[in-house]
Amino acid sequence: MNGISSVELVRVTKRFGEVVAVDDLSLTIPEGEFFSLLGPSGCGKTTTLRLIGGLEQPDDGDILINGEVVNDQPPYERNSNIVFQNYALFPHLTIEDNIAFGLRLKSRRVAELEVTKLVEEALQLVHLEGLGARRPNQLSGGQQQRVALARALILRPKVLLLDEPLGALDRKLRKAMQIELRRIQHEVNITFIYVTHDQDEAMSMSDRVAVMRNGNFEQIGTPQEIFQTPRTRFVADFMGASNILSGRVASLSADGAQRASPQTIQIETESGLRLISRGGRDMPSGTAVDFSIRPEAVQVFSRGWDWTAENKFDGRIVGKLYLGDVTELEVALGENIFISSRIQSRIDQKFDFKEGDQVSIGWNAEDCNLLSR
Amino acid sequence: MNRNSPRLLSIGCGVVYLFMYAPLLVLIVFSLTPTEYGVAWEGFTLKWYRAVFDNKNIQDALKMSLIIAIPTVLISTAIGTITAFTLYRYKFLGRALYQGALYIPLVMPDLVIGISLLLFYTSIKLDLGILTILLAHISFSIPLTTLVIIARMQRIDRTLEDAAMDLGADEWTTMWKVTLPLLMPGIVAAALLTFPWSFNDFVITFFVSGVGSSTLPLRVYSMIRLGVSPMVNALGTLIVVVPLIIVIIGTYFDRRSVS
Repeated sequence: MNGISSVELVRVTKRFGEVVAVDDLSLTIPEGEFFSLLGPSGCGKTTTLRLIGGLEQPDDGDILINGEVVNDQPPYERNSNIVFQNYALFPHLTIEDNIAFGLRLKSRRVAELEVTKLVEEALQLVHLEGLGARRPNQLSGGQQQRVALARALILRPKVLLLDEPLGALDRKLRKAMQIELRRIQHEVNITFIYVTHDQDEAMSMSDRVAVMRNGNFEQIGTPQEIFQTPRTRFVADFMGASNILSGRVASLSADGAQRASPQTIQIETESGLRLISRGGRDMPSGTAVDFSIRPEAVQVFSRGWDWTAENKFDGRIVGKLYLGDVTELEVALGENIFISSRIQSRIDQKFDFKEGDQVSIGWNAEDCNLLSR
Repeated sequence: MNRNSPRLLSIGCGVVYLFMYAPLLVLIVFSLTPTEYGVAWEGFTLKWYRAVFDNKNIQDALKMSLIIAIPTVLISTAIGTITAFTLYRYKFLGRALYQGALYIPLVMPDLVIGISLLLFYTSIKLDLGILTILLAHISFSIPLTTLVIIARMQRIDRTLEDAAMDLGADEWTTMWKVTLPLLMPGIVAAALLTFPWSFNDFVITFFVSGVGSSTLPLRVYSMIRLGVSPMVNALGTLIVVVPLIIVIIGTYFDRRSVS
């Protein structure tokens, strides 16, 4: 890590009674990063956020902001601000007074003229000029969300903590706000820690993503890493790689003919399928492995079509789901193996696939992703 | 349901309201006519009201009632706010017990409360008078104020306080700038409900008041023991109408939700 670390967790644990919400987490987030905590509800992502913000105290471990241990600092002394899931705007104050709330507390010496100017700038940043005199209940959900953002950003925190801030917005508005958030983050250059259960949201905005489960990090990496090379079954499943198979390493370099290249191995699945996968160089023959294949990496053609793939099998279409721009095909390879494929709907139309059609499907060795057990 | 039901319902409803409000209307009507003993309308007059305002005993009793009611409102609302805050916000041993014990006086017969207070004050050698009335009123008002304010508190979103702390407000500032303003409609409603609660009380006051500390209800009672004067009608009208207006204002404040 070459920059200064903005937020650091060192073996942080938080329990609620018997439940371990956050389990021995360590994490370093460099300055200016857009970092997402991604996971299903109850995985501890919001608790992690509240720990950083000081609304919860860790049972164990240290939390550092800007290199300084802040365990004993109450939320009002920490250099972090939160954008709450339900926005938590003060209903008895105008938008202006909501945004100025922290500013007036922070520096009582700041002249009211200066406050007015800063509030005006904050309103401009989130495109809400002219709405300062209104009350929160007079604004739409999207506007309230922007006010919550402005109220936190005006304090110029070292780190901004966002707790599913787009959860209550409709799909179209959410897309617009994702772009907006990214723009604002570049503009203010503050570390953003973003909690979400929506992998698309995490993918589209983050520099790095941590996938959480049961208070642990399953995997931390760039969106591309997590999407293309999920490390565990859980991550693969959560990221929508619905083809997860188990098997054994069939042979290694002793039998050169079995290897397509030095980077690949041959696997035999439980149901007898033999296929080539990348990676696994150190694995001896017979090692049990799980692997995932993303549905969009699986190609489907009519039987007899002339094409090549490193792994190519005959199968039969048992299900078809039209999803708009893509179509999902469920293909049975023998008795117990089902592979999902996502193909462009245009291609589906060209071949006119129907349930029961005999097809050939395939994918390349590099699309086989080994999972750790 | 046949189609006559709504009509039957409205007739029933009318009867109920008649029995509720007709006696009051009779009282008001006869406070406005000069008839001395009869029950017939003999023209309009405000002379009984003038008599009420000229009567030194009634003035003193009204003064006494206000001397009791106003501090009762202020003190029991303040204590009710703190109690509500504590019961709602903090978890401590026996909290449910405290909360339950708080509401029992609301359903306890006034007679029992009155007698027990009298026994208590006598046994600790407290002279009956303004102080004992005030203590009694404050103690039976606290359950009411607490109940109203807790109800309000349950409607406040806790994350608002988290947000205030996150934005730099310490516990004290959070309470002053966020919790109390949001609680204010409940506090005002509690105060406005407590006023008639204290002002109207007869039974308990009857037991704990000493010689020369009659509140208005006690004075009215002693007046009608000597025969019903139409002056009592006028006084009764005033006692009903003024607190009624206050209660209506109180309800209005409670409804004006900021949730």
